[in-house]
Amino acid sequence: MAQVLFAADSATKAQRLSRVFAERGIGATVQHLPVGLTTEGCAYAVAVSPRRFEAARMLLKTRGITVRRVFFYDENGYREVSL
Amino acid sequence: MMYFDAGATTLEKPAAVRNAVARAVNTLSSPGRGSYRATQLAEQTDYACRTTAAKLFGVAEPENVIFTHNATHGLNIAIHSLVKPCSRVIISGYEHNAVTRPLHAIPNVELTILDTPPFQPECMVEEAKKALEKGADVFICNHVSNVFGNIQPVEELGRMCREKGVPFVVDASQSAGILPVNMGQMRADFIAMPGHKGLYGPQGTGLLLCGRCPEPLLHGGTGSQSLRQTMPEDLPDRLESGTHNMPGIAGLLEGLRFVTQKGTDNILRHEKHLTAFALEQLRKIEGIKVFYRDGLRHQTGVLSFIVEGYDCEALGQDLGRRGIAVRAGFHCAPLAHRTVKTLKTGTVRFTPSVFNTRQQVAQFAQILNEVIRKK
Repeated sequence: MAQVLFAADSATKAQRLSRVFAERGIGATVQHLPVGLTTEGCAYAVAVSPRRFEAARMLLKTRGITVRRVFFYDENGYREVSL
Repeated sequence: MMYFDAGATTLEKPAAVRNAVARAVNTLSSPGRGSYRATQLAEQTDYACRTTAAKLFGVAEPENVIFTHNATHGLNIAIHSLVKPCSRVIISGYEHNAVTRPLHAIPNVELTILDTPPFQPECMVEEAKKALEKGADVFICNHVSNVFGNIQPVEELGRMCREKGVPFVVDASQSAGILPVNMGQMRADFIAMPGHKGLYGPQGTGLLLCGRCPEPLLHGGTGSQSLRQTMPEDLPDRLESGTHNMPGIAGLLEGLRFVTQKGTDNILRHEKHLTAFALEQLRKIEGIKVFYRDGLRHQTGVLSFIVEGYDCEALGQDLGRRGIAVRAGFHCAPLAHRTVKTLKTGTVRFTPSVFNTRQQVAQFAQILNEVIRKK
């Protein structure tokens, strides 16, 4: 299933991000970031549907929330995108 | 048993706290240590606890609410972060060993102790002003003395420290859940508090509210940035090595919800009502000296007393035999006893909680009177 992963450094930041999305009706789940995508070891991600990516991106911008890395996942695998 | 030692631990907890602790034992695993339901529930519980505390204590970011084992743990982190060898530190004359011992352990700390009478916050402000004029690296003060219940003017002290650029640390052990504690209004760099007193959580829990980036006291696994051999830079992981006390945190969350729902104003009003009634009863007993002033205006629900010719520990034990739980001795705060000149005698301390009743206080006073008369 295709999804967009917003990387978070800690479980707390991931929880917070998922609630920010949820408050605006953007369905989000917290999960671990695949090891192959991390540079410093265990990290978290908040996954949303690609259909909601633009809404999520705008919400982060409006709220001044910085996310260091964002990944798209689909049948071709992961690819990093910039916000 | 009639329990009047809430200043040490609130023994009676709300039912929701007891249930949450029991439920957590086999439903919550470790936050950040897996991708299964039990760890996700633990992460959600952690986060709910942080956000509830952040709202109650005026902390802008939930990440700045740190779980600790108790207030002592939080104070050690704050002191370790701010105080270095040869630092100049100002403290009140009412600090607990949780402050004085960590300071003593750092070499050559230049300590200024504000030796001011209890229940006179204006004296504390005056002395603090003079001490700050001389220069300081850190100011540490409790919000309420655990021995005498005197309320310290922390908002004014915080304002003065901010003006001078001196980091301010507040020990809210006796005030969290009873008085308004607000990070912004106190202009504090750190506020430490236990979970098991006025917040009605289980023992082994505490919170450190951070207004600046601290130095970790413990180094270890955080479930994040595992390939690095240094601690993460960001809060809360920077300070939270090792497995979390999930039953404790789940219980603390319910304690915070209980306090939020009840309101600190109502809790304080009830405890002060009981303390005022206790004072009224105790004053009728011959040979008792009770420490208070101005109708308890600058005092919470903490009442210390001594009985002429009766060792306070012996009195505490005799009351214990009659089913009354109070705390006697020095309360781990010899500095406070030195300040009030009770270092030779210690005191007996009466501290009710929101669950005590006026009838219990009347019984306490009656039994105390009987015990003293029998001696």
